[in-house]
Amino acid sequence: MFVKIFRREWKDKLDLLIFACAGILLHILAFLLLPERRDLLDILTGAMTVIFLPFIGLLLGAGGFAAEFKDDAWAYLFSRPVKRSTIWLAKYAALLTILAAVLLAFSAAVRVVPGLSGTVADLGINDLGGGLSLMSLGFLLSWVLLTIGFSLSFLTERQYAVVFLSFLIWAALAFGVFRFWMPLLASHVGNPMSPGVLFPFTILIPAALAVASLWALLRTDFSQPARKARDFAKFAAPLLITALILGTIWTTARVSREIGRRIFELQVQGSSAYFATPGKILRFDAEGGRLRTIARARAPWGRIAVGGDKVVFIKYAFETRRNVFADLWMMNTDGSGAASLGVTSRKGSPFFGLHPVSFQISPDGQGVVFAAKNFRERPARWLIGSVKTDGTGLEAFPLDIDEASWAWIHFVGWSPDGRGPLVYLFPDGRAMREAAAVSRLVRFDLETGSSELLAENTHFIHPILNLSVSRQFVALVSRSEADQRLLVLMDITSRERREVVRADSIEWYRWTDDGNRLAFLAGKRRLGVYSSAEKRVIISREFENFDPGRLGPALTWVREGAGLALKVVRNGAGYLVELDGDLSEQQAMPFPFDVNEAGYLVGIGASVFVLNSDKDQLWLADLDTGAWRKIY
Amino acid sequence: MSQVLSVANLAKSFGRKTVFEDLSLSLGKGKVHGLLGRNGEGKTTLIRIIAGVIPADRGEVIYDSRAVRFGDAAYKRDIGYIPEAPFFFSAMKVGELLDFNAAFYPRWDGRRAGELLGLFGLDRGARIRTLSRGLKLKLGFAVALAARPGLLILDDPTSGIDVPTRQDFLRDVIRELADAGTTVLFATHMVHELERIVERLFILHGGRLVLDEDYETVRRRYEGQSPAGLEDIFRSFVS
Repeated sequence: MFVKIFRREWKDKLDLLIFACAGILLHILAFLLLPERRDLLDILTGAMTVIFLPFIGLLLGAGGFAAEFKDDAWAYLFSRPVKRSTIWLAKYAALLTILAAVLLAFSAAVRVVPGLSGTVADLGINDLGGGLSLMSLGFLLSWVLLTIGFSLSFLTERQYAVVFLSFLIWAALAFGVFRFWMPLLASHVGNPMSPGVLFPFTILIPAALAVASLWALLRTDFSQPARKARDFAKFAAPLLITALILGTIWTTARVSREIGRRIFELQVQGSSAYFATPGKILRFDAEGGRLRTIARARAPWGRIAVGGDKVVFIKYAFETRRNVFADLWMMNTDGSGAASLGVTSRKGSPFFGLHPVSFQISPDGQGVVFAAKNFRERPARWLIGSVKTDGTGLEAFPLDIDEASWAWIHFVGWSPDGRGPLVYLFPDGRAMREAAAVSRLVRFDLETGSSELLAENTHFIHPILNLSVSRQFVALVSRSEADQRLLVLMDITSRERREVVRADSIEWYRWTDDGNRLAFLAGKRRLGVYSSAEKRVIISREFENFDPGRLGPALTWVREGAGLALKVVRNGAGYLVELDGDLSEQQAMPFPFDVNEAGYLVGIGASVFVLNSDKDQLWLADLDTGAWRKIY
Repeated sequence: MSQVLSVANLAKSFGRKTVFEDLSLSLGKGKVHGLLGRNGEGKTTLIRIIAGVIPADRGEVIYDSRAVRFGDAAYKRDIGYIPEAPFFFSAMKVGELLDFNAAFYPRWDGRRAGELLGLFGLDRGARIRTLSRGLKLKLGFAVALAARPGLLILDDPTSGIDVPTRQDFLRDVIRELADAGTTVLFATHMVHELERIVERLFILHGGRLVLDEDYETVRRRYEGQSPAGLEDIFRSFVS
């Protein structure tokens, strides 16, 4: 019986399937015939994914009971010896599989058609947040609208009314959630929310309507539209309230779990480690073994900069629960004297309209330099600003770059002449692919507001570009003509370059604190140390079957530059391996957690901070005693 | 006489309009029952409640000594239902409708269905929407009879069909069914159609049954009066 109804529904909606496939075919043809019309293809792909496919879902759902309304065929069907629940389920299953066929066809097109997958990816994840890609958003919306439409389709024979009502419900829910619920949650949790956090509501609300429609269909008199609507409303109301309560619990738990304990940035100065979480700035003193909160700062992507006896950080301010402002704050390293450098939400403030994302304390500890988007201008433009530590003397210089192409700006050090920061500009993926945009290392002059290109086409490897303490050299990775990777040292003043190592890949590199030696991992098996004084690799070692684990290699200097520590996987188990100055293994400490979760390593004396990137934990390994301590 | 189906204290309203209240009747096994009433008296509503298509507001339906819940699929396996308008899925072909129905009825007789198609002059490949009203009625009968129902319910299916077809067809088919032990409930407002086949008569008027009696008894009571046909009897109850 189920199969019969299922097949009849498929036959009935075959024309809609053909229509959807024709739409996809036109989309493919546009890509094949007009490859140079990027803007048009962007609009087309966006419309296809988040409008056309959901609209197909809505039409499928809204027509769920259309055949039964024709000539009152519902009376005939309901007089057959088949449960109404079977009818409902068979129809819904048929509609879902038809939609799945459409989505599969679209997915296949995305995979096969040249350029389409890149366009879909570019239009995707950054703007939507919460791990929601454009494709998954389109697919989710299609299901949502199909389910809402199907849930209402038994109420009236007027399909246009079902389409309109479904859209109205969806729009009302979206508006209500975005306008009221998200700001409330953001204010409560202390973070601006991305739409991705609404996933529970996106599932639960259509599901509630679907259950209400099934329940109503089992009991109602199909011949009476008013009674059907009343019965449906009677069942839908408590289910929707339940969905809202469950969605709130689910979302809050999800948000708290995902961002509540996240470690965003770890910086080490002296024997202390500083790190930012969504609500706090914490400091751990390796000597006293004490962890303490030195500031409370609500920020979804907490950033800190430590220099001298100061810590700069970002604090989010909420206005009317909707508008979020990021303010720069500064405090002493012990947490005292916290003060805002400038209020970005107040119209009279020189900081008004700025959104700082990256910052650094000047070497003399007297000023802060920051990169910000200036939202006073439309479109918003990047600028480099500087301000004294008492919040006065704000100066801002627009960056002369193509705004659309740059995804991120990061400070990597300070110019040897002290005139300004070294800035790393990183292009977004699309600009890299299509405009052959490359990353740039720029020396910015805060006195003149001018910038000077030092290098380009460098590769982003954490910990980005590593300056020596003397501020004379920068280590960077570039690509050779033979497509090999080169690790080079560049003299910032003379721009003279020295090749350190050439390999298929450069995995990691770290300077000693004195800035004289650079340790590197290259070609996935070669560990070496380069001396900037001797201008050569003074020691290197090849590892057999070197396995750094899922998150890739990590390397740090320990014991004031007398040794190295790195992460190694052996027979599935992870070890923190300590090497001496000759790169001979001294000990291997088993990780107290899954090695695949281990990310960043930072050495302080005979200790190593280890970041568990998956669980957002911070551990400390004592190389003298072989003991592990969970700090956070 | 054993009862195959009875309804007790049925009530149904549409909005503020009460169609009937406290309606009770019984169907005797293997008999042809006529349900008469003017348009809008609730014949179709009663039929649909009995056929399990819509729920009653109150009351119960008992079939084979078992109370029938609304939505009871097992009960419907024994019920043949031919609605007022021959509303099938009009995009289907005749053969597809038979296959569609065959899945629902455990006693489905495919051979009988084929025979009936031949007898009624129906082509398996013909689209339902292309059939005349008379052929649709015959198709409805073919489906209902191939399911071998214990109770056949007809909701005024013959309106709009020419008189010779209607009379010959009904007389032959319904008589044959009744002779084979099938209980028939035939609702109509065309009184004379029932005259030659009905055994028990119900007249629905003003929301209640004003007559629930064997036709032969009623006819005898009116014998000698002029004119004393079923139509006159019906008029005397509803005027």
